[in-house]
Amino acid sequence: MFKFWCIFKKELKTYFISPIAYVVAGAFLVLSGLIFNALIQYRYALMAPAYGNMGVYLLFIVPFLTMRLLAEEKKRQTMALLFTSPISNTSIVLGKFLACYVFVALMLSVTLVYPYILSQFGPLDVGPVKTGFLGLVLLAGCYVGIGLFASSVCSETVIAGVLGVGLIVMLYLMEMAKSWFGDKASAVVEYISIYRPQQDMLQGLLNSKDVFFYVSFMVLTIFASIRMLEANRWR
Amino acid sequence: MEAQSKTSHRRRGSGGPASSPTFPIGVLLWFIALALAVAGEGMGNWAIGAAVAGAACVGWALTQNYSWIEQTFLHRRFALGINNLILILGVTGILGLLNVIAYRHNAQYDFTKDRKFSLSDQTLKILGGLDQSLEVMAFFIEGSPDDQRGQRAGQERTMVKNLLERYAAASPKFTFRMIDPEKDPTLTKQFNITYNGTTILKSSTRDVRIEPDKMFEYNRSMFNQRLQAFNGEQVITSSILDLTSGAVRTVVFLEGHGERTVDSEDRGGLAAMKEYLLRDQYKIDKVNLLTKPEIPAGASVLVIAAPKGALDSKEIAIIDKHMADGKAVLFLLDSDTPPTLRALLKKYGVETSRTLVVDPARHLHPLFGGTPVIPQPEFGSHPLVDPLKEKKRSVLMPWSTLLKGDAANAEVKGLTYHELLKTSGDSWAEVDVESNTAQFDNGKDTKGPCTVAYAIGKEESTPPANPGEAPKPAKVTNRLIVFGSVEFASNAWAEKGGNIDLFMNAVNWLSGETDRISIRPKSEDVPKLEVEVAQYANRILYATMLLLPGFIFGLGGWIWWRRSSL
Repeated sequence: MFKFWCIFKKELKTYFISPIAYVVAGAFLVLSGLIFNALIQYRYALMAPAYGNMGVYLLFIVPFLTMRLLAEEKKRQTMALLFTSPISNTSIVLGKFLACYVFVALMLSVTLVYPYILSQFGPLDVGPVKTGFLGLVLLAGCYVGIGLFASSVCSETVIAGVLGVGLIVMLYLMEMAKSWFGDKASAVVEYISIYRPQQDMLQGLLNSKDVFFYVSFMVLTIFASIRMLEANRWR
Repeated sequence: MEAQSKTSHRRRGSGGPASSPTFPIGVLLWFIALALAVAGEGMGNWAIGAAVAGAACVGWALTQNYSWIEQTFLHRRFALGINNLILILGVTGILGLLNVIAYRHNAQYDFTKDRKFSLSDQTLKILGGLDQSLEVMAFFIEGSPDDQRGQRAGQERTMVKNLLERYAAASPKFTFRMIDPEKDPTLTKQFNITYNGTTILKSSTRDVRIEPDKMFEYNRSMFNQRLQAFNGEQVITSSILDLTSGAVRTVVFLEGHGERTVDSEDRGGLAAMKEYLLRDQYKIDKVNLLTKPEIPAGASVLVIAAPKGALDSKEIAIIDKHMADGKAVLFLLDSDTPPTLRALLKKYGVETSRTLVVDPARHLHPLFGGTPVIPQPEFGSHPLVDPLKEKKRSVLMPWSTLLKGDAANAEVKGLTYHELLKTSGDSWAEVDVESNTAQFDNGKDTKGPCTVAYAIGKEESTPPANPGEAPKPAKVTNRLIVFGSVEFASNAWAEKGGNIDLFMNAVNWLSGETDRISIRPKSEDVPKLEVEVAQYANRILYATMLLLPGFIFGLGGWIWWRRSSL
């Protein structure tokens, strides 16, 4: 537990002292500000379109934050140090995952100022705002997991970033291509889409199966990253 | 010679199968096979042929590189890689299985304010009371994400399917089928479906058809159309009522004295309420006693909505007889109620006056255009308002007049008076209704709380047959409801708070349909900000697009500067 905590603290600190992380967070806020101001223009008293679009922006932003997590260790040859230290692969991956996830969640929490602004101009249905934000945070967790997995596969940070974006885009396209499949196959493809559960949450509907789906998706990506790190030990 | 052959073999194998020209040809053939498979009908055999040819090419390339196979696949690292893959696939399988369990034991929570994803009380009551099986056939194409029209079709289908699932979960007698008209042309032809989104409700005796424009309201512009409201629950519940209700119930509106009319779309008209009455399968009729001096025999409820001109004594006599015969009447008043009508109401123990109720403590907030003459009264205790009280709905009674139940001086005896709505203790009934400023004048004005709605009737309680049994609800005849405000039911105020529910519950109570007293489903409109934000738009833009990201960029720059100066 202590070892995990050390990795987590170190990684989180790295984000807060890295100007790149601030540039990424700032760019995200500019993009989300754009969609929020469009809502204001149309006088919409809801956050669903903003959270839906933020999910798409994160698609490109999160891999920038995750790309260096493991790939940089390999590139700088510091992975050997980690492997020879008494820290398990699980602690390394979990610590790095959680640090990035906390940073992304903090970045998203800044956007809570938007519903606050909306609420100043009339009654706002807070339920969908809460579930929509939860959906966004869970979706971001999946992105972090995919990005971390991409970083565990590559030894070049840029390639890890591109692979991360590629994998997320592939999942996105898979959702769009569901109509190509037969009835049953498209139902399965629809169910395993990481975007489907967010749609209900944006509307204010929370399903236990959706939360479980997101958590299990994160578990899977973390497990796959641990196994890829394990494979690195043999090389 | 043998050594030379080995060297040659190693050279051939060193580049891996990709170095063989047949390998890229094979991969290319696989891509062609995939493209043919996606291209669709008639291409299946070609796709299989291309895939087999591709496999042959790749297989040939592999056999030409045996040493590469040996080095790659028989190495320990490969075995461990396979082990990793199996582990990952195993965990994927376990998680998939757990997800299937989670899917089957799903718990759903509706966090929307109006319980948008839960069926309304009214629908649940109606479904609970179903005594026959109902089948719904919803003809919706699957839709596709490829174009805007396909996306819209998919969205509509999902909305209706989700709604029908909730209906089916609420009653075992309710079943539904989603039918794609493109995939089932026989059934589509059988039911003469010409529009995507048509829904058919079938009972054992007859069918009801719902066209898509009743369910979906679109805001159409030149370039696109945006879904404005989804009225699925209202329309389906109304159709169920239509299928299952027996007797025809008619609401008759008195006219000829400048009353508010159900045909008027103006702010003061009652067209909105007419829509709701029709949805609940009421028939609407009008009566002008000056031209036809009798109230239609089948009238379930007679509505007298703020007449401006005086009612003739003969007209009053007809209404009086109607009331005396035990028929239901709904009075919607304002401060200008004609004296003859005041006299009639006094006979039934309701004293009215030319006053305006002012409530500085409980009224619509100025942010939403409210003033103290738009009180938000508290509910009394009565089956008609209890559901509203339970659901914490508020009603607004704009420009209401004071009502006083006076059983002692009533000519008609034996009536019971229930206060439905009462303003706060800080309120008063202002006598000077023309004044622009309202101030309580002791001795002139009447101090609150002011009653602004009464439910009146002759109640006959039947004692329980056996001691210990719960008492049966009293049988009520000669039902009257008097509202001090006609405005609450007008087009301008009908959709505010629980005003629709209050009006419809009143009509249902008067017509004896007490099972239908509930909270109605609401349209799923896109919620809009109630305050005009145009004047603040620039400030919000600067704050969210410049100030907030600028602060984050600035923080990053400061950290970069601090670190570089170390």
